[in-house]
Amino acid sequence: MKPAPFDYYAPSTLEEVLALLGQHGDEAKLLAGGQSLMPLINMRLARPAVLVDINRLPGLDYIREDDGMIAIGALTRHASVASSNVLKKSCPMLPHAAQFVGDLQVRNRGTFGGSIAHADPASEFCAVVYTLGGEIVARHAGGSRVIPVEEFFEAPLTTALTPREIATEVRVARIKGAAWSFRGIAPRFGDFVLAGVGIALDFDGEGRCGACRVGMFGVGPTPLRAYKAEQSCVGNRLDEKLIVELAELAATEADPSSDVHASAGYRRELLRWLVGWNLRNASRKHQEEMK
Amino acid sequence: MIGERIKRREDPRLLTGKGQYMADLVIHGMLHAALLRSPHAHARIKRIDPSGALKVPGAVAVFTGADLKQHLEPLASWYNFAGKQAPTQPHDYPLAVSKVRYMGEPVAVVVASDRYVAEDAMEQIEVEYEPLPVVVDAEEAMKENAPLLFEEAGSNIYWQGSFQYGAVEQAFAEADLVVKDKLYFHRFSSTPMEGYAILANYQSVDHSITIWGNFQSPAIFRLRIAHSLGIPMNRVRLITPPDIGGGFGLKMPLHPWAILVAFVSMKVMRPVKWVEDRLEHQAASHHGSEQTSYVEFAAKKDGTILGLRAKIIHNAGAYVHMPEPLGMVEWSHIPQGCYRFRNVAMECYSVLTNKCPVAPNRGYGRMQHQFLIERMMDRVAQELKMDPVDLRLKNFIRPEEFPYESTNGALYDSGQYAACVHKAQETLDWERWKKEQAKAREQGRYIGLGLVSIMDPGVTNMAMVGLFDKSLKMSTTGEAASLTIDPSGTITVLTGSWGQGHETTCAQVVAYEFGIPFEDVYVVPGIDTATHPVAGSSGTYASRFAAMASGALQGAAAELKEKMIRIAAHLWRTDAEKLEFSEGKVREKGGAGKFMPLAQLAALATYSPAKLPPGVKPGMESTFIYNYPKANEMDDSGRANFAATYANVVHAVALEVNPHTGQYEILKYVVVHDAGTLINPLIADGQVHGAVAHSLGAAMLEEFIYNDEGQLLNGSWVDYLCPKATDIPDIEVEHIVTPSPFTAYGVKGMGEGSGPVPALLAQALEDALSPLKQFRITWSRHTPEKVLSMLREARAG
Amino acid sequence: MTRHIITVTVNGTLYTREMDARKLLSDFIREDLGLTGTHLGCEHGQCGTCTILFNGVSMKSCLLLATQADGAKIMTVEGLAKDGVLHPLQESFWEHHGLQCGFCTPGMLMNALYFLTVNPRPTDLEIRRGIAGNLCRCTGYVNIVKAIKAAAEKMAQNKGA
Repeated sequence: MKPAPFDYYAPSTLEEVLALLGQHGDEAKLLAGGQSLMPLINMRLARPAVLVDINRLPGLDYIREDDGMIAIGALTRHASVASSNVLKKSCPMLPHAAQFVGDLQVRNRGTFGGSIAHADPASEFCAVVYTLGGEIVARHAGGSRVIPVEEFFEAPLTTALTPREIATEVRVARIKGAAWSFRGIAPRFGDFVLAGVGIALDFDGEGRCGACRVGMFGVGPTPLRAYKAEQSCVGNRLDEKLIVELAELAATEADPSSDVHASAGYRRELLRWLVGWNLRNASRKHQEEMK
Repeated sequence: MIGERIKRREDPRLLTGKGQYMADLVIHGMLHAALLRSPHAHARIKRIDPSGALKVPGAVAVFTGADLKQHLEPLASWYNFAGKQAPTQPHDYPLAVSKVRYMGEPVAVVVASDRYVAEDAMEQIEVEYEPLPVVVDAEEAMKENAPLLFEEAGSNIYWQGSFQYGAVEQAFAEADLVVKDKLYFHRFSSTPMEGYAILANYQSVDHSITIWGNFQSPAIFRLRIAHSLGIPMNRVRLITPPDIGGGFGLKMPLHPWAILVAFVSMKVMRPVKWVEDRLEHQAASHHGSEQTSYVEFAAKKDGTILGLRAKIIHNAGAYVHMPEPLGMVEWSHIPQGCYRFRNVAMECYSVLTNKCPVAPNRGYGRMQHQFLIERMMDRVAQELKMDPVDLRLKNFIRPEEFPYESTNGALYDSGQYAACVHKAQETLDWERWKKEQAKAREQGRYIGLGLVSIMDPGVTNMAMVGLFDKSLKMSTTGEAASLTIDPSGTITVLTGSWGQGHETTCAQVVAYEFGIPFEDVYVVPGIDTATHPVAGSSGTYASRFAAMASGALQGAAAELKEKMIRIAAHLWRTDAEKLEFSEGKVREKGGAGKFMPLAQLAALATYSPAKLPPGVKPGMESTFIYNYPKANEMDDSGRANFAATYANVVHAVALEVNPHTGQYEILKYVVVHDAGTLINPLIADGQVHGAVAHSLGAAMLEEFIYNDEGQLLNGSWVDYLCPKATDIPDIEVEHIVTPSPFTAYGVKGMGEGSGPVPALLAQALEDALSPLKQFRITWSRHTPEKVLSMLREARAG
Repeated sequence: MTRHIITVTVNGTLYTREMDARKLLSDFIREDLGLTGTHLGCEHGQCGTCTILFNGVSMKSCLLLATQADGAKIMTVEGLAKDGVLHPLQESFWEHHGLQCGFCTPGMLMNALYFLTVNPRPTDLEIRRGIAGNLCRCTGYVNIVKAIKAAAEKMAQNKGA
């Protein structure tokens, strides 16, 4: 199919973008990489009256460490995330996750800000930011605000952004010294996952778990955290018995649904196994680093 | 020349973007069509108001089913060849008339200045539907109280027939063991990269129409297109462009859309083009057949299979488009698979449901039958605690039994089935994997091995249509070719050329026949019914082209060589017996004496007819229509040689199951293939790779999923999962060559021999999980979720 | 609907054209420039058939608007062979029978071309992952993987020489 008609603007300043959004409100749609939006437009499932292309905005393509966090400009392409040395050093879970996002062409065009703002519940990038913690910088005509990631994702493809706002930067918490693991299971390589898990863990000198973050994706309306499992983890040794308990606990915290690719029950089973696998993997990585 | 791995001559144009596919064709003044399609699976059309569409600037016209019914004959069925009509036929038009019967069925066509505008206009057509009860399951549709798709027909059973060969009752009475199962073969399709496309240009001055389309078989459908349009057949010109973006059988039933676009061109007096997009193709082109089978196998204790009894139910979808319902009787090519049992009873039902109509799809109808046979072989092996490979070896037809007339008259030409099995085991390194498997089991890992052996029949003998109506007496398997030698000595070939390397392989055959350089033979790309000769069943389908075209080319070449010998004998005042054709010239036998190159002979025949011997016609051109010599008519007991060649394929696999997720990884995949003489092994290997990928996709990923309301739930390529490069393993291909005794050069059809892959994976998965439990997999798509549920079941005890 | 005038370089030729806002880059390349080597397999970003190089980087042209190409340098399959000499990738696809119907081939070539710039000596698995955004329904990918691998070796040799 071919797109329905729309007006198109490609402003070169943020002010113009915000003015257009102010003028057209929810009639307008921001076009970043377009790797999720354009298919919907082509199929006439999305029919914005106005398309505001932000690809010509300068200065939104960057990855830098900033005040203990890593700041990623909204127009940073997935390919830059995948190959960033800053991220490989300070936030390796992100470039690792990037290799499973779509495919080579998608990574060449898709933007980090676009992925986050699109808020697919099975998105790797949403999952990593949600797991590690972070915030989204949103600009509107009157100024800007910072939205903690916990408040950002509201429902599938729905965020806290208003139609007159644009996300300009995503900040991811830098978790020093944490062992991490990330794995999802998708029907095919690069597809959205049926279930996925990201984990960041600290260990104290005695080998007990310190801070623990267990993120889950593809198993609920938004990315999720397995808070109960996290709490049960802290202060304990990560032995096989505990791992099984944590996996069970996390599975109760997921909220998967059924579709043509998998039933909710299967997603939950995958999730249970993935929590265990990732805990073991993180623990193994930690022990290797200790050696 | 025959048997050489020659690089394809089609490739340079395809590699440089110079291919000519349907979407690339442009005619001055051309309009673009878009089809409005039904969102409902079953509904009465109460009202269509197209007025809004015509207000869209650039929109030219709108037509509905009512317009078609007024002006056209309904779509053809096989019954028309016997002067009869199918019960559903009066209602079958390219656009829905008064009722829609599947989601995606076209209800109106819009033509406009471009496709964007046509879609804008399409959205402005108002249709009021009254939804009707929906039936998507074939067995439900057979019940008395089921909603009827065609009320006037009184039943959703389009066709039913029973066939019995051998002494079936006796075989089951004498059996030590009877195994029974209900098997389900799911709905998928090869979804070629390029959808359907038609460009029609009507000329009112002489009431003629030219229709370009990515037709796989213009020969079969030309008569029927002409009939529906009410244009004499000789004024209906069908052209297939040089390049088609994959067909896989699905592009056989293109006629509904050819007729529709032609009709629109006639009405608006402009060339009109329609290019099906992906969403249209997935929902509403055609799907492969879905089959439920109730099967019984009779066996002796020692593993000798005695017979097969099956009730098979095809979910045909909402309409039966030719060549359907042939899928229903394609088992007739291979009634008993590779095995010696001769007692076969088939009870067949072609059932209408509110799903997309079905069509040939690589392995048409045979996949389903092979799945059935190979699954039941495994069931017998399980029951008798025999090795499944040993059971197959025990029951194979032996090499010395060929040519082997099977129980329904299918004349298996040649084969060495056991040799293929041994080679497959050797290539896979079966024994090593057995050891790996044992080791893995000790570690709680699950490796499974599988091996199946099937026929890959080539060429359809149209006698097969007699199976569903005895009054249809056909026997064509034909293919046609014309060769012209020009006065410069180069040769032009006109025959069907539809991709798959036909330009290359036909040139190889002709170069071989005349002993001239490959470069001196030009095969005109594509096919045009105004210039190309066609036979009754010309086309690229049923793995027929290589075997049949080589017969036509060989025949035409023989005629020309004989003619040239006669001319030379006349000129040299010698006896034709003393001459021979060799290395591009006529010469005295042995080659030491006089000779005359073919350029000179062609020039003479072209420019100097007075020099020709009496009775020899001017020119150096021959058209030859080849029909397979063993293609007979069906007899009254339903017996005929329903195919022509009977290749054999063995697939072997080692896979490992992840016991936690149900995912499985293919560790090694081997195919041993015997399609007789291979014209070009490079191309043959590619066909095998493609066939395996096609079936692995089906066995692992691909399925059209409908809900109870008849809504297709995965109608885009986001959700319908074609295998990616990361899903298909490396495929090791070996060949054994057992030439056909009946075809030119011993060539057999090939490229569809992947039907058993769903059975192969089932066998290997059962083997992998056998330490836990002996499973009976009765379905054809093996999702990790299903595998995990088996593991769960096994663990629960 | 807004209309737009763009100037774009395609295979080294500069074009200035006017179009509707909604015109997809893929349709623009095929219809307005007549470069029909770029094919459409799905028009929703799943098959990769329409892949081109956009400022040197592989992208799916059905997911771009023609207006977005203003000022860009684009390369399509027609730009791959130089002066009638096939690119090593084209040669290798030919040699290894890495194509059958040829419909996916242009997109496959363009993505492989970019892939080899970021990974000049790939493993089989890396190749498979690299072309996971390009569907092929004919070849089972077996010979495509071989062709890309062989081309990589050839291109590395050419570079070394």
